Amino acid sequence: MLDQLFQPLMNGLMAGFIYVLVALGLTLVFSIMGIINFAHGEIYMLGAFVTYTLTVSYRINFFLSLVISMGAMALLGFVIERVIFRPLRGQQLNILVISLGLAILLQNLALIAWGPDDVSIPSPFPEAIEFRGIALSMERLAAVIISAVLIIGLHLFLQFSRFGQAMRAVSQDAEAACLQGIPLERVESLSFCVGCVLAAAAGSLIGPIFFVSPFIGTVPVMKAFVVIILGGLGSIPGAVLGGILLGLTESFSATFVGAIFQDMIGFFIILLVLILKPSGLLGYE
Amino acid sequence: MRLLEVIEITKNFGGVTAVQDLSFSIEKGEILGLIGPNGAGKTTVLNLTSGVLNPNHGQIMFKEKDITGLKPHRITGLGLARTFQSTILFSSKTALENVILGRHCKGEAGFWGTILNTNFAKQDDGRDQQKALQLLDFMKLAGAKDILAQNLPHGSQRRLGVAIALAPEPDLILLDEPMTGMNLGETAEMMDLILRIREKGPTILLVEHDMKAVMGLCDRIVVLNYGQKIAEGSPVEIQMNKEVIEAYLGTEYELAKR
Amino acid sequence: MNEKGLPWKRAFTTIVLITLFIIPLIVRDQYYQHLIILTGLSIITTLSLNLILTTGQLSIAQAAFMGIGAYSSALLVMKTGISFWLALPISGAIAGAVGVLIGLPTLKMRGVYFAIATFAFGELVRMIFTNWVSLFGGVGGILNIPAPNPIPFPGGDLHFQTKGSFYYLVLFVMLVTIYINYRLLSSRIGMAFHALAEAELLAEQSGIPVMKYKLLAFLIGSFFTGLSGCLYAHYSHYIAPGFFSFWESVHFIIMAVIGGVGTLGGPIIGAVFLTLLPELIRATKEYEMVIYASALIAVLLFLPKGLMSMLRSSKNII
Repeated sequence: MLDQLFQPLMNGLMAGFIYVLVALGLTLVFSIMGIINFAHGEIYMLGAFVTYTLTVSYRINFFLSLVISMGAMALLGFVIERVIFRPLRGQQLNILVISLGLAILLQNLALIAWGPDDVSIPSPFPEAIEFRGIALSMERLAAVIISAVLIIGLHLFLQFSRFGQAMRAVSQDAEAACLQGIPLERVESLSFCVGCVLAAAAGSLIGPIFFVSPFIGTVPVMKAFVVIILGGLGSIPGAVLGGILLGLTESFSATFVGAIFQDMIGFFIILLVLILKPSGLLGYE
Repeated sequence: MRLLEVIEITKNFGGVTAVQDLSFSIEKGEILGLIGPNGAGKTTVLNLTSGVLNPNHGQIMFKEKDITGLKPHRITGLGLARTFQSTILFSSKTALENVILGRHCKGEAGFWGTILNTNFAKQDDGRDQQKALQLLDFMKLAGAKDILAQNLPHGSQRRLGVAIALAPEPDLILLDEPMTGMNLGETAEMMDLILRIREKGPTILLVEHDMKAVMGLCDRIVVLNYGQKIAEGSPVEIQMNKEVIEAYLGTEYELAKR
Repeated sequence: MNEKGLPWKRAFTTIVLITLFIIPLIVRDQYYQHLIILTGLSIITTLSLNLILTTGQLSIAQAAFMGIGAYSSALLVMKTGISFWLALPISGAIAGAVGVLIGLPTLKMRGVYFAIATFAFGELVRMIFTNWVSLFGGVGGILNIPAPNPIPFPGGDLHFQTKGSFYYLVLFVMLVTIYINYRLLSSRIGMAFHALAEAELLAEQSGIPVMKYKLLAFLIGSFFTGLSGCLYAHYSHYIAPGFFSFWESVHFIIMAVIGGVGTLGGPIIGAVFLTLLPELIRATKEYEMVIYASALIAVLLFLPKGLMSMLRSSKNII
């Protein structure tokens, strides 16, 4: 009985943590800049591709590639925020549409660069470990552990570093933070980059487990929406809770109810939450 | 006639009680002042009366009809209008358009008439234009009628806010700190304006921090502190009321001695 | 409204109408006729979305409502045998009714939340079309949807089998849509729509029934979008859930925003531009979407009020 539960649990946790990583970036950007960035999924995808290219074409160690990819996406995020989002400050609708345009652009650039086929990032680990008759995938375990490390790292950063505290101040009350002398634009730029870093990590960690293609960005960003609505827009602990909950719910319902409902559940949850408690599980206002 | 009657209203926000068992009334034709230190609950009272918030307990009667729990647009339609503490305007529209929008509930053509632009609708439009221009004139904003609201100077913006509230020809108007951010000259103008408004018709509930204005304009004053009424009476009585003086001690306000 | 330009406006409108009526005679190529019909359908949907956007609400579900109209009509005609001409308004009404049903709990939400709710709704609708196989035909959808029934006429029946004839049907519905939108947006109700999008609190206090008007815009928008979906079904004779996905809804949003929200001409220009653009750049093959997306980004960066702002000052509604 226990091993029947173990696989979905493991899959659910892994999916959950990846969802959290992607959702964190989105919710961070929303709480600090007030924008929903639809191109977030494409950053996830590009992060995966950079890691793929580094490991396959340049034979660089997976973990080093992961770090380089995170840095590369931070740089890309910096440019995007400066060039595309900053000029449109205050224009809610236009920002949304431009992020959609950006998503299309990035996806098609990736198509040109890498082609439409699925590719896989070679796993840095040997075969799975056997533990009391249950197959434990090292890649999945690594994904969970590294995600957890990043999440805790983010939390510590926000709690204890000067910039992190500045970010929290801005997310609570941008005007007041500005009056306190906090450099608004630099904080926004940094938050956007942090979001991209997390997305890149998520994409890279998934690479060895499933596959990479220019189309992998759409679904995670949709799941991320479910997560941040469930947990509460702008709430970081909410994103963590929501992500893990969603991952587990999907995994267990796929195993015990049916795969069809796996995707529908997410959207049903969104509607229910929005109608009954729009602030989500842990959100304020 | 008791135009407005507020009966034992209470409003809680989570754990905080903003207004507690508050009762007061306004007679037709008077100017009633509502004062109190910051956080006393004055804006909450206005929000409850205009329908933006619903009280947890109590009743609000307007023209002897129960308006508790009605939505703001219904209440405005019944003849009760208000201004806002911060300057809220339709920024991208001209001053004239802003006032015309204030008259929205005065349309008589009905939905289909408006859509099909029948004669009734055209009459509505004509009436709106005429009344709006008159009102702008009255508020000394005639010259600004084609200027975008966001481009008006601060004092004009505040007066435009009052004009929008006066547009539906209300019987009662709630003024939420109209003198905010005004210098001496502008304040005197606003005081004069308020008296002229009373002459024109509407009864007025004035929430204001500027004591000179309050004592100079109001027939009666209700004083709030921590969501409860601590005094009620004429300006003279209020100025001599010990509790009122105590409530204001510790802030930099001095009651104007006339 | 502006009385000075009236004779010019009348002349312009007349010329445009005459041109629209003789298009099938000028443009003979089947492919271009097809494009024009698709543009017409896009205009109907984009105008509907524009109405909803004017009240300050972003709906990411237009394609889903097209799907509701399309599937309703296809099923009504094919399973119950009623005439297309009855199914058309009924499918619009169904779409409108669904709009009200989903609008009631969601329209009171703040902007972003509403958008996400419509997004979730749209995806749920698509999944229902995909997974309820017995009713909707699953992933494969519904095939062989008949063309509209011929209309009996003394001189000879009017048929709608050809693209040319179907064009007139689309033109008719499009003109009705434009007229209704024009009436609505130029009335005091239209002005109230703009007002409540700009300052909801003040609008409510000024006697504007905010929730009622948002619902109204959503109802009318959904109704016409449903009509457009119905027309599409009986034009292409084949519908599948994939046609009514999130990305299709996105296309309409892009058309509305690029054209210019809040005006009448904006959505029309947006729909035309964004249906023609892919055609013009088709030759660039894999770079097509890159150019498309770049054009989008460029317009938004340099013309924030949309293409319409190049033609008129934003004060007028046309």
